[in-house]
Amino acid sequence: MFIVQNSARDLWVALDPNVFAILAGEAGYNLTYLEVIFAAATAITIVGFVALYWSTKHPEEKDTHALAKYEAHWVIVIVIIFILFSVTTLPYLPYPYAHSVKPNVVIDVQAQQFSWCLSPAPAWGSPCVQNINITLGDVVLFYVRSLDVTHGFGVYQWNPNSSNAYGQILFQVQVMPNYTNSVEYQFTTPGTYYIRCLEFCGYGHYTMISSFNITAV
Amino acid sequence: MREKEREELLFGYLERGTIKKRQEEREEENSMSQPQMPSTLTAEPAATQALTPYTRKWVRRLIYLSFLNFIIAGTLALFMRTDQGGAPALIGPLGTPQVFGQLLTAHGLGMFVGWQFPFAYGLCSYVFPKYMGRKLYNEKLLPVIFTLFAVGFYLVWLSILFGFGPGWYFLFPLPFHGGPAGTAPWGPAEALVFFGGMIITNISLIVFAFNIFGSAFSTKYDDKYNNAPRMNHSFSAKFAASIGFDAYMPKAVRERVVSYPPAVIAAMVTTLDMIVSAPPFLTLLGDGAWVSLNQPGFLNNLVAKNFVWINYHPIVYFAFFPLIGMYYTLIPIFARKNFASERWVRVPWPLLLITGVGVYSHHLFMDTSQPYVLQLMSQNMSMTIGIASGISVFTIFALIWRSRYEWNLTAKFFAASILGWIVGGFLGVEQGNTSLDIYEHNTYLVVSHFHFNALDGIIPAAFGVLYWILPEIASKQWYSKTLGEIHFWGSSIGGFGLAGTFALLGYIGVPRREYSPISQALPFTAGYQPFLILAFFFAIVVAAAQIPFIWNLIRTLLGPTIKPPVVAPVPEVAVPVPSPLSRQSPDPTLSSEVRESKGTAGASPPVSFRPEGSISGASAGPATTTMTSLGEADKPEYQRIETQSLELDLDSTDDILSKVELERQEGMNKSG
Ligand code: HEM
Ligand SMILES: [Cu+2]
Repeated sequence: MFIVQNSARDLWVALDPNVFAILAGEAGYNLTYLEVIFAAATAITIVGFVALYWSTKHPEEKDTHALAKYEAHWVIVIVIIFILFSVTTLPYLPYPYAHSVKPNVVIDVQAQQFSWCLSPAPAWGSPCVQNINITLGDVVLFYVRSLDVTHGFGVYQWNPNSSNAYGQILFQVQVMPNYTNSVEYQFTTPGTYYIRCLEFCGYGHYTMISSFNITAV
Repeated sequence: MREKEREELLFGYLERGTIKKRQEEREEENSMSQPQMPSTLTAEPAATQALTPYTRKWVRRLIYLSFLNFIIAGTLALFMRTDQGGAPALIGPLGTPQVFGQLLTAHGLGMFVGWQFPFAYGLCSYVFPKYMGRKLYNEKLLPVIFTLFAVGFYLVWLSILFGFGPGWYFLFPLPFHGGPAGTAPWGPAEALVFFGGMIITNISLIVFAFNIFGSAFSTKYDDKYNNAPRMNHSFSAKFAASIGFDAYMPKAVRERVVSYPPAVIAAMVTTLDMIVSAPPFLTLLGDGAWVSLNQPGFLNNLVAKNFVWINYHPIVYFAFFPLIGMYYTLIPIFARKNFASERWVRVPWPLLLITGVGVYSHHLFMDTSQPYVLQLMSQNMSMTIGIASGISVFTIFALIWRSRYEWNLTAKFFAASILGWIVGGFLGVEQGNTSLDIYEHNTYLVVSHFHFNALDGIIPAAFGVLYWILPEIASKQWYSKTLGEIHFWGSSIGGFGLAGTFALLGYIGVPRREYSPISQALPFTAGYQPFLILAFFFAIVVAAAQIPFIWNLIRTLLGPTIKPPVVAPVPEVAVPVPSPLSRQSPDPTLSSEVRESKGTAGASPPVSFRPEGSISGASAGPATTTMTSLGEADKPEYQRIETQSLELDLDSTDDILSKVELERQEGMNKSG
């Protein structure tokens, strides 16, 4: 009953309690992982092309459609890959409504050309804060709203002492005027987090940068 | 030797003496290899009267216009790269954040609309006469399409010149709110010109679609698509065939439906996608124009964003689909064999038709207010695009595999293009996944994805097609093959280098569309510098590679006109064009004069430029496809070949080549 009634995420937590931890704490892991997959797939493709070129230098005497025979097999393989890919990523849906984990902390985010303002809920438009105190492990829900045009609320992490020289993107959500969008995240490390606008919002878009501190309580 | 020779023939380089010698070698070779040649060998169809000089004139104008816009939009991209490389001072007054917004908008629209639209118009208008043997439904509409497009699109660029710069997908309400009060680089007047221009551009699309649908479905044509005996010619049968859906039908039904050539299916699919998504987009444009006039808008922002992407996703496929149709058409010619199964050739198209529109919500994955059902649909549609592309690529790969593939310039460009399609597809599959897109949306990974697919996918395919069809549509012979090679290698190295660098930028999290990605406020961004410089370098390589192309094209167009295809005075009977007469054509008493003129028409320049081209009627379609509506028993092609090879005058290179080709073909026909 439990599994059926709750979201896909619960199903996965039931199967593997660490799923959520991976999602929350090590977002960068996913990107590196994807980069490796992409590089490997590209490399395989290039090898495939070289092989194709080679094959045309060794043409068959009589055409047997040697590869074409396997077309149906190939389709089955890619369909399976895509299904697996979809199913295994489903628990990581970036939508708070998809998850049964309830937030402990709510933060309001207001965007306008070309600045950010964060304030603790539910005070829309209240004085902006720089330092946000949360208990490590709390699940934070960001409510994002815009006063003018569409922006993108992107949060980056950078640890100067780690090998990660470029910082990494943790999560993002679009900020659309007249709508309230939201994103949920669990911070596992105290420190400075950087906000960058991730939707082109006019000539000052690239300057739309801010930061906040998560201090462990 | 053989490959090289073909290439030389393609460009008409051989000296006469060499030709004679090669011709002999070739005949020998042919006589040896004949028995092994598959009888379904696919070949270029003869130039038909359907491709009238008038159609050719407007097709080539559309294509010239498209490449003109490509060059302009590409130059704008160089300026953007200069800004992002940290050296805006180099471009003086252009190096400001305001102008960056304009460049971004002008580049994106310049490529996807300014370049793609006229190219797709031209290509689709070419494939119907060429591969279906039908005169365009109304070729007099071509100048209308051309003019509407040019007026509309240049109005768009004009508005950008005067400051309009919300990016190519202009998310509402940015077009009306370019900056905090008093600082916006543009006002309602520019916005109005922009929306007006876009509306006119879309009207050109509607006229174009009318012409395409007419060419595909009109009952006025008297050809096998309308009249083949014992076949089902209902509209629904034709519609299904025109989108390749016959592949999914049970055999008994399928056999009663006349299949359309893949190039035509592709043109239909892309046009349908554009046209079903046009009403919401036009509503959006109307709303934009209305708001620019200081009236209250009627679309809310989320609906507006849906309306832009539902049309903008098909836009990015607009020229891509017909170019994939050209892979299916030309690659069998280069590979000298036909597909193992005509069914697999058609299978991807209905999928592409549905997904072309259905994926659009993947542009809204990061909007949590978008209903989840749409996100779920679009994730699955994005995967389906992957499957359809996977099928296409495999089919083509399997065809080339161990064939005697002719690696001419067009074939090389196609190979680069397919590589770009696959690699861009990998990124597309990542981004088409809702859960992963949270790390990739609006970063350089998106830029990388569509530059792989566009700069390294659509563009090389288009160049390949241009190198192939220019002699036919412009009656010019390419000025230089070497320049073409330089163009190919430069564009490929630069293009893949550029899109690859974009991927690296994406994986380190660089946002797209930033005037200056490196910021004091973000200490970690200093590390972006080497990648940004690298991107600038590759952009220069791409740009430099276009110089030989432009030079080659200009010299080609200024060069001598080669034997314009003869439009024979009599050939109502001879030409496989719909006309009331064409049915009576299997007239064995046809005077040899008539046959000769018919033959001459068939030997028009493209044929002689393409050694692999032949004038056999078989197109890339199934073996049963012939360009004529003359029943099974008649073999007008054979007659034509014979008369022609007798009549050719050996004075010009072209003619000799045609002769060689004709004889070869003849031998093949006999052996088959
Ligand atoms: C000639 C080589 C090209 C170069 C150097 C180039 C470079 C660029 C650059 C620097 C950007 C801005 C990226 C950002 O920061 O967001 C961009 C955006 C874009 N490019 Fe290209 N590009 C090229 C070719 C193409 C082609 C062939 C197409 C499509 C057919 C294309 C379509 C686009 C689009 C749609 C955008 C997005 C504009 C926007 O965000 O509003 N580009 N390109
Ligand atoms: Cu912003």
